[in-house]
Parts: sequence; structure tokens; C-alpha cells
Amino acid sequence: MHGRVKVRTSEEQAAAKKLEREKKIKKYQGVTEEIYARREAGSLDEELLKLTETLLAWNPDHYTVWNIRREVIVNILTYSEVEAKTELFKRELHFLEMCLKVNPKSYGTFMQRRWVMSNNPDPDWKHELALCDLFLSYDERNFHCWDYRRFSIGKSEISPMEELEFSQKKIESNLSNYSAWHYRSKLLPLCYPADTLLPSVSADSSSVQEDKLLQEFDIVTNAIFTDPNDQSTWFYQQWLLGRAHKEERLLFFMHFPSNQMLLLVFNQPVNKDLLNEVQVLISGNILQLEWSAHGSPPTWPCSLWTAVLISVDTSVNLECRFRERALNLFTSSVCAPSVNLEEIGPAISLTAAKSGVLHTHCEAICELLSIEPDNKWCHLTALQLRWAIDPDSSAAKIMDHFSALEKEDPHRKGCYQDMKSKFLIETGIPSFLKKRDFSHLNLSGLGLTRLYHTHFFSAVSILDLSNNRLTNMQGLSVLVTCQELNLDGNLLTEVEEDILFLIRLRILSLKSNLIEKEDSLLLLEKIDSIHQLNIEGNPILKERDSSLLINLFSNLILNCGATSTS
Amino acid sequence: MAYVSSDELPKNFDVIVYGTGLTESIIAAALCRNGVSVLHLDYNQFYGGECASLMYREFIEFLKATPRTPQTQDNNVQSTEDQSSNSQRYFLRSDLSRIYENIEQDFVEQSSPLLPEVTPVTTNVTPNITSTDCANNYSLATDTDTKVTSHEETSQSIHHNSDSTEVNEDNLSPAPVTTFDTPTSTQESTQPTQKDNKSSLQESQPTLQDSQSTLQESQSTLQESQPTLQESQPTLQDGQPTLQDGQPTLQDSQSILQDSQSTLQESQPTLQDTQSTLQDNQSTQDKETQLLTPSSHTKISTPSTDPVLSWTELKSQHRMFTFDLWPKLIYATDPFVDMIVKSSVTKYLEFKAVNKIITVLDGNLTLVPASRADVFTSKTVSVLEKRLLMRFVTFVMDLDEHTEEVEKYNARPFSEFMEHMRLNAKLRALIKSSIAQVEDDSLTEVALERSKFYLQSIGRYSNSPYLWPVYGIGELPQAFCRMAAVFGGLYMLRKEIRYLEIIETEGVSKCHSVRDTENTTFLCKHIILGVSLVPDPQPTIRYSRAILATNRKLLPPNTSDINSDIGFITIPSHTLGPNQSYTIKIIELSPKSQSCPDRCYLVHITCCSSQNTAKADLLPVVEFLFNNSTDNTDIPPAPKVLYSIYFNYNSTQAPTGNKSKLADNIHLISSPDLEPSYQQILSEAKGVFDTICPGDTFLPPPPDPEDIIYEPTPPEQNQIDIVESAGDSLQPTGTQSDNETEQIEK
Repeated sequence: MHGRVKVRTSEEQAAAKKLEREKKIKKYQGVTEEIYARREAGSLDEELLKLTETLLAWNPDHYTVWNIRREVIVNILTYSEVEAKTELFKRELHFLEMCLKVNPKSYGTFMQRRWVMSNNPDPDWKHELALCDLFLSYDERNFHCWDYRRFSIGKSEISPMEELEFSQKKIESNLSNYSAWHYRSKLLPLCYPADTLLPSVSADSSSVQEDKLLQEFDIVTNAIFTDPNDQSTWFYQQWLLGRAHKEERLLFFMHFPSNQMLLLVFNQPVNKDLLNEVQVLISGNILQLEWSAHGSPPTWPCSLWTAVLISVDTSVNLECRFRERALNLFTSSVCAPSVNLEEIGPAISLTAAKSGVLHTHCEAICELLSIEPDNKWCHLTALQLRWAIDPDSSAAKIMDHFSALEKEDPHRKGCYQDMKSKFLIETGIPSFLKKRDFSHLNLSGLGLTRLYHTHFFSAVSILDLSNNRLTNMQGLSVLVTCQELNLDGNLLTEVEEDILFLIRLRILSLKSNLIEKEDSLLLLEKIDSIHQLNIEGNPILKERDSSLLINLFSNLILNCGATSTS
Repeated sequence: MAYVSSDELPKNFDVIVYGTGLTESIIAAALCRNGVSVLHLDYNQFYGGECASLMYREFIEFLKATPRTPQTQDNNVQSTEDQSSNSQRYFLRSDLSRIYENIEQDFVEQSSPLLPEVTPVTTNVTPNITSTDCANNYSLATDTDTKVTSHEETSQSIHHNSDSTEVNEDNLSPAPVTTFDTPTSTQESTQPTQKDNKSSLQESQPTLQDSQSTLQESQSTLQESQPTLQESQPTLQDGQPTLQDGQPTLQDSQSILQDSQSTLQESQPTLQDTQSTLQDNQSTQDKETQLLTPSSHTKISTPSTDPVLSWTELKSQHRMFTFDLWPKLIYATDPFVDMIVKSSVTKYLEFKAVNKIITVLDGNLTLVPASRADVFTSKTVSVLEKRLLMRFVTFVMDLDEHTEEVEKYNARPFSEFMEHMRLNAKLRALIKSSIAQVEDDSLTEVALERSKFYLQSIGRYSNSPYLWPVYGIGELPQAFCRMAAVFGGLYMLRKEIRYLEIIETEGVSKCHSVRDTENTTFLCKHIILGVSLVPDPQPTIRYSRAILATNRKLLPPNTSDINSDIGFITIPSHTLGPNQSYTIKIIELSPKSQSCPDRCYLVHITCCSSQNTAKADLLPVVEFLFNNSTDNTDIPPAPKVLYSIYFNYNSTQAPTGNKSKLADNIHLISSPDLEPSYQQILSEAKGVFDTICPGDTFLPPPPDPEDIIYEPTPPEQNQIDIVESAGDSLQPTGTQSDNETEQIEK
């Protein structure tokens, strides 16, 4: 048309583009081949350096060529003088910057940069930081960049304070920046370490000065109110609530002469090396013992540890010492050790000042909840805070939170149900422990989906877990003194190996569960002590003839109920 | 048509556009881009018309509608019958004095604290002195002969009366004999007086204004890249001797169109500056709002160390001022922005973000938080208020999801809806005045649309929803004119059309040609002109405007310095009293926006008129914001006004459909309005374009230079011919060369 600019049609455009592409591909392949050929020939010289440059400028992710390039550089360095060396490094850094512009998220490029900076006789870390700043401004979650930043900080003398400010700037410009919050959580303990450092080495919030922690609470509250749907802020807040370090304590010390076994029960899973601090004395003499974990894979931390003790008379005086405390042998008439709620409750390192903050924080969250009743994070946090502050009086509200959570976040229903189980057990334990006779423990009808703090039950003789929602026997391995175990009305599908640890078990009731296969039942034969078993109301009975089963378990009283096999 | 020599101009065009206002320029660009031959004229010596950004002298002249060329016809509207019975002449208005009214200027004397005090000297400024007597013709207030500044505030409010053209009461109104400096505008006149006395009538030479505006142009072209495709560019015709600017791009033979390929990336380099300045701004702004109380204290500058701009300095830098006739912020998600990005007009423009947004709450200036980051770091809002505000923000951003909830409130007052959202009084005021920017009685539907417009604009280019072109709004029409010229438009400034010739054939009237003041006739198939040029009365919207030069930026109390280039302040209605019927909007430009010299700020104040004069409407707000002297040395003193001008602006509105009653091919364009969006401008431009070129694409993106097919052109066309500015060089209309306007096959 008259007066218009003539433009290629889209077919012509496509054809032209295709031609271009083919040319490019040919060139690329040519260069690659040449690089390999030269390397084979061993000519690691400037020319090869140039070739690798061209290729890497097109494609910074070709790792082999980066390696070749490093070889070449090392080779060149061997025969160049100091000035040439610095020149080389400068050029390399410049080239790397260009590569980064092409793809700021390339492993190869950053790796090379790290290598160069590590070997650079004259590194300029400020420049590196500025580079990180630049790329983080393009994409504030570029984890390559964050890692490289940490690397640079580690090598240079930039103070953590400056980095803390940097993280603050990043958070202020975008509070969704999880990377920045995370970075902050690493920097805070470095900038403001708490005066009394507990033996635990991990840099968690308990190792930060309290007033700084409280300031952080303020910031994070602002963030939470500004956007309650953003996870980063909630996770940071969780971190602030912290994980207090629980001191390891020995709860029970038991002896099973018939099994030739000594048993130690700790208040939390411990590693084997802690056992070196335990001394068992027989009539005043220290025994050399080999401890093994009870009920867990051998290399994992475990709460229960056993050792073999051969042919010892029950009248002999056995004593156990751990960290300047002596523990007598457990017998059922002895009271339970006094246990602090903090040892089993959610581990929040609470001091007087902080508990005040937690109260106000809890109120703030509840206020937020009134505006945002659907927000699962609010419910979860309010729940956790109430649990930490005063679980008994807030029990009803906490249960409300649990229901709300299951409704708002149905994908994680199981998680919340497990959490609820934990809560119920935790609130149940103190009252249980106050009894003089804690040989009986009744945890029936609580809807428990999972068992927690089971090591406290290791001293229980009769345990009633009926009418819950247990799907497996996890945690039951610690019930070493249990004689009667009631698992009626649960959702068990099989008998697991954990049951074998119940060396004193005499009566086991598995009524109205979901057991189908007899194989697992056969495990029970291995327990010598068991002499009464109830499998009434299980699907297995529909399939198998009860008479067969009775034959199987001939040495014990089998109760199959009145159900007739169809 | 072949351009054979430089003194023959083409006379036949498809479309004549008269007036280089923004809408007209957009249409011109769209038409040229579409291959239509366009003649674009303007009676002024500058581009932009009522949207222009002008130097001081031009500005005042334009406001007062000083006659430019001697009139050969009287000002009365006539339509005389010609010899041929079916043609009539439709004379356009040449007296445009009623567009701007009630002009009042104040020259406020401000002493520099560093200079010694002296006894006040009577200045030469008294009424009735004609400018030829006065040593300083256009320099401001006190004469520069005595280097002494007086403490007195000599304020002169002189009313401009369009009827009395006899007495130049105002020192600044130029004499009938205009005096100009030589065109080296970079020269800081150390003795402005002498130069001014040169009464060199150089109307046909590049005038001061010309070179000033072209200096601005060439400054702005530093960022531009002209798409020149071949060395021969005979189509770049400009009424001004633009080559003398030394615009390097005209000589440039590189094809720079490839820059325009990804248009968003194109605008990014210019906007990345603003982004980076914005991040700086953000960080420094946040420094004062950060939650961990910083160790930095607010800097209080005591008067003795205060580098306040003195009046003398201000005068000497008057050339650094750019006055916008029409200061209208651009929302980042305005379809106008999409249009300029898509068509890559952005390569002629550079923008700044307006990153200081303030309103008045409880009688005090307050920063307005709207983006999530602002809200997070704000200290003026409690956590609960933050939550409620963010709730509102997210609600409005997803307005489409909430149609049922909103339906019931659509026809109800907005305040009811805000109460429904549980917003307290403070937040309601904030939202109404700054986010929705509506009056008290506004209905929910409108207010929500506006809120959505505002909120969605945040984050597109910066943390602020607004953009402002560097060098002023006047850059916008210039950018479109540039594009039009590149695609073959012919430009002539200082060309005035006297009348349109309308011929009736078979019952249909059509404008056949136009005649200018030098008696040249141009033929056209369509004519587009601003409706303010048409003699018939049209509906107008009346605005009150004020422009102030101040010496310090406005800050909310107890705020340390905010690093901002441009600020936007809303004063909700009735804040200053029962007489304030409308919201007052204020734009504060800093030196970084290239509209004023260092240490000075240019403040534009606008509102819909309710009182008789602009000064009556706006003086209360000026007194509220400025010149409050207090003895309290703890807070930084309020900015002082160094210069102010008030005027009313009557913005004429074209009839719907933009058609004139006289003929179908006369298209009338509304004057620009001061509503929030550019929607009216865009829809008028598109409407007129669709009428002239139905079915064609409006300003499509330019093609990838690699895809352009070049055809060899005959050798005799490979010349660059520059057409001199109109005026005297036109031949009489005897010669009519061939009637085709040929475009270059690119």
C-alpha cells in the first residue's frame, strides 16, 4: 500500500530466523569440536582460552568447557609473571560479569567466579558484594547470588552488622523475601549473641540477645499484619519463638535379670557418645558396659539404651550415675521422677520478659484472627502460643483452633491430628506423673493418631490405648515394663516389630482393628511372655477359619470373639 | 511529489492538523504511521499548545494571549460569501485571550541570610511603567542594578484584564516590541539588563524561545534514538531550523529501529534509572520509617547554615524554569502508557516516578502508604490499621472476584462501603483523598474503579503509581510530533490559519482547503483542530491553577528528608474551610525533574473552580502550606514562596463525536482536562483516526528493522531538504505541484 513501510511476512520472518539459527548452531558445534581437539593435543594456550570464551559467552552452562578453561588458566599462570597474572584475573572477572548478565543463575559461572576469587592474589571483595547487590536487585531470590554473597562475606571483612542492615533493606522493600529473612536469622546470633551461651552450638534464636529478639518480634508483627498470607514472615516468627535446648536427663534406670538386660531411659533421644557420661556401679565398682539403642536403628539417637548384664543377683546393689546425679534402680513402687512441664512442652525458651512479650503477641494474633478468621497461620500461631503459655486453661480454645485448622487446611489434616495427639498426651502426662502409682495409664478415647513422649511410659505396667485412631505401633517399643496392653478400637492393620520390645507383655488386646493378614500375627509368637491375645472383630477373622488360628497360637489363650467365619 | 527545491512547499495533503496539542499530535502520529500525508501546523512558536511546557517568557505571553503576528483581518467572526455560491469561509478565532483568565503574579522578595541587611530600596517596579523604560524587561521584580536585596516583601498582584492592552502594568508582560537574547541559551547572562535593551526584532530568526525550546528538545533527544533508515531523510521536515540544534541523530545513518523491538525493554533503560533512584529513594525514605529506631537523627538545619535560594540567584536562573501549562500525572496502568510503549514513542521520552505522596490528615501533612512495602514500613499506621488497609487494597485489586459483595453498594455513597470494610475514620480519609481521589459525595462504583486504577498502577514501574515526563508534560506532544515527522509528516510552526474554505457539493459540505495568514492555500481532505479555536461557544470546564517557586520541599512534620524527585499532595475538600468545595491537587517538582534550578522547587496547584478567581480559590492552600514562620527551631521551617502566579484555565470540550456541525471532515478536539486518566485524550484520538482511516491499526509497533524490505530509490530523491520556517518563504499559491505526496519506500 502506498506510503507504508514494507515488512517481511511472518513466513519470511520464520524462514530468515531458521537460517540464522542453523548458521549459529553450525558455528557453535565447530567451536566445541575445536576446543576438544586442542585440549587433546595439549595446547592449553591463549588461543584455546579465546575459543572457550566465545563458547561460554553463548552458553555459560557448558560445564566441561569451564573445566577446560580452568585447566588453561592454570597452565598459563605457570609461565606468566606477576603483572600478566593480575591482568589475566582481571580479564577473567570481567568476562564472568558479562556471562552473568546473560544468565545470572548459572552454576558454572558462579563456580568459576568462586574459583577465580579464591585464587586471586588481589581480591576486591567490595566489588563482589556490589555485584551481588546488583543481581539481587534484579531478582531478590537468586539463591546463587545469596550463596555467593555468603561466600564473599566469609572471605572478606565485611561486618555482619552491615549485612544485617542489608537484609533489613531487602525485607522492607519486599516482605515476601524468604531469603532475606533466612539470612537475617543467621546474622542475628552473630551480631547480637546472647550472653550466656548454652552448650548447644546451633545458632537458633535462643542464642540472641533478648532485647533484640523482642525488636524482631515487633518487626515481624508488622509484617504479619501487613500480609498474613505470606509464609516467609510466619516462618521467621516461628524461628523467633525458638527451640530451647532441653537438657538431657536420665529418667529411669532398670534391670531385667531374666533378660540379662540393663536399661536406661532418657528424657529425649540421645547419641551414643552421651552414654560415656553414664556410669553403672555394682557394689561400688564401675561396670564396663556396651550400650546399644533400643528400638531404633543403631546410628540414630534414641531415648532407650540397653546393655547386657550377665548373671547378676537381684540382691546386688546396682547404681547408676549420670552427670553428677545418681539414680536408683527402678521398681514399681518408686515414685516417678519429678518432671517439669517445660521438658515435655513446646520448647520455647521463656524468660520472664519474653513471656510478657508472648502474651502481648498472642493477643495481637488473636486480634488479627478476629479480622481474618480463615487464616490458618493465625490459628496455628495462636495455638502454639497458648500451648506455650498456659495449655491447661486454654485447652478448650486450643481444641477450637485445631478444628479450625483441619477445616481451613484440609491437606494437612493428618499433621494437625498428630499435633492434637501430642497436645493431649502432653497435658495428660503431668497429672499422670503426679499419681503415686503410675503403673496404670489410661489414654483411651482421645482420638490419638500418633503417640508422643512414649519414653515416659516406659515405667507403665498397664497401658490402655483403646478407642483411639492409631494406625501403627510406632513408639510402643519403649514399653519395656508393660504387662497389659489394650489397643482395642484402633486402626491397626498389622502387628509390627516394635512389639517385640515389650519383653514383659502378657496380655495384648487387638479387638476391632483392621488386621487382615496372619503373617504379622505370627510375630507375636516370638514373645515368650505373652499368654493372652484378643483379635476379635478384625477382618482377618472373616477370611480365616478361627479354628486354624487357634491352632496357630496354641500356646496362648486366643479370643476370637463370637464372630462366625463365613 | 518530488521535493525539488527548498522554496516550494507541497500544498495538497490528506489531513491538515492545526494545533500541536497532545491529542492532535497523537492523531498526527497515527495518521503518518498509517501512510497518510499530514500537514501539522501550529500558530505558536512551540509545540504543545495548551499542553506545552514553556520558558517563563513564552509562558506569560501565551497565558495573556499576546498577539503574535500582525492581524490582517479583524478579530470578528465572519463567514462571508465568496464568489462561488456554494463555498463559504469559516474564520477561526485569533483572539484566544479567554482561555486563561484572572492572571495574578506575586513577586516575593526573599533575602538570603548570608547577605547583609540594608535599608529597603524602592524598586523600579511600579504600575504604569512601560517595559521599555524598565531596565529589566523580563527579569523579575527588583532590578539587578542595585545588588541589594530588601527584606520587604514587595508583592504585586496585578490583575490582567484582557480588555486593557494599553498599559503594561505587569513588568513581566513583554512590550509590544519583544526583546530577545541571542540564541545561546546556555549563556548565563551576567548582565541581563544590557541584553534586554536590545530591541532586535528577530521574529523570523530563531528566537530565544525557539532556541530555548529546541534546547529542551535537544536535551531530551539525548535519550532518544531517531529511527533513521537511510541516509536520505527528506521527510523530516520541521518548521524550525532543527538542524541548528545539532541533533546528532539526523545525521545518523544507523538504523536504530532495532532498539524499539522489545518496547518494554526499551523503556526500561530509562525507567531503570527511576527504578534505581526509586530504590534509593525507598531506602532513604524507609530509613526514616524503619521500625528499629535508627541511630540517625533528623537533620535540623538552623537558619544560619540553611542554603536557601535567594531571590537574586533565582532571577539569574530564570531560564532553568519550565512552566507546564497542563500538569497532569500519568498513571502507570493508564492505557495511554500501554499505547506509548507499544508504539515505541517511549524512545523519545524519559520518565520519573512520583515517589512522595502526601495527604492531609487531622490538619497535618501525612505520607500516604499504599504499596505493601509502604504499609509495612509506615510508622503512622498501627498494626491493626495496616491489616485493614491491606485488606482493602487486596480486595480492590481483585475487584472482579467480589462483584456480588460490591453490587449492593454500587449506587450508595463510598463512605458506606468503607464502613462495611471496617475501615476507621483515619483510613477512610486516607483512601478517599489519596487512593480513590473522589469527593465526599462520590458513589462506590466510581470510587472503587479509581482505587483500582491507582492500586494496580503501583509496582508497574516503581513503588509509586504515577509517572511524570522529565522536562514536563510538554514532552509528550513533542514525542508524537517527532514520530509523525519520522513517518512523513510535515511540520510548520508559527503558521496561523485564518479561515477554512467549505464547499458544498450535492448537499454535502466539506472543508476543501485552508488559508493561512500569508494567503497560502493548502488543500486537504480532513482538518483537525482544537475546539478552542472555533468561534462558536462551547462548553468549558473551569480550573483554578497556581504555580509557585519555593525554596524547600514540603515534608510532613517530624519527617527527615525524603529523597524524592517529584511529590504529589492532595488536600481533601473542606480541609481549609467551608469554601473549599473541591479537592486541591498539588504537584511539587524538584530540580531533578529538569523543570527548575537547583535548590528550588516548582509547585503546581490545581482544582476545579468554585470562587471567582483562581487566587480566591487557592490562596488559602498556599498560606496553609507555605510561609509559616515559627520560632520553633526544632522543626525545619516551612518552605517559602519566592514567586507565584494564579490563573484560571477554561478547558473547552468538543462535542461528542468530535464532529463540527459545518462539515463532516472538520474534526474538533477537546482541550485537555485535569481528570485522573488520559482516557478522554486517547478515545478522542482513536475516534478521529477511525473516522479517517476506518479499520486500520492505531499506532502499531514499528517493525523489526531486520524485517524491513528496502527498495532502491531513484537517485534524485536522495537529498535531505530542509524546509525553512514558514513566515516569508512561501511562494504565493500560484504554483501547485503534483498533488501526490510521496513517502519513502522503506
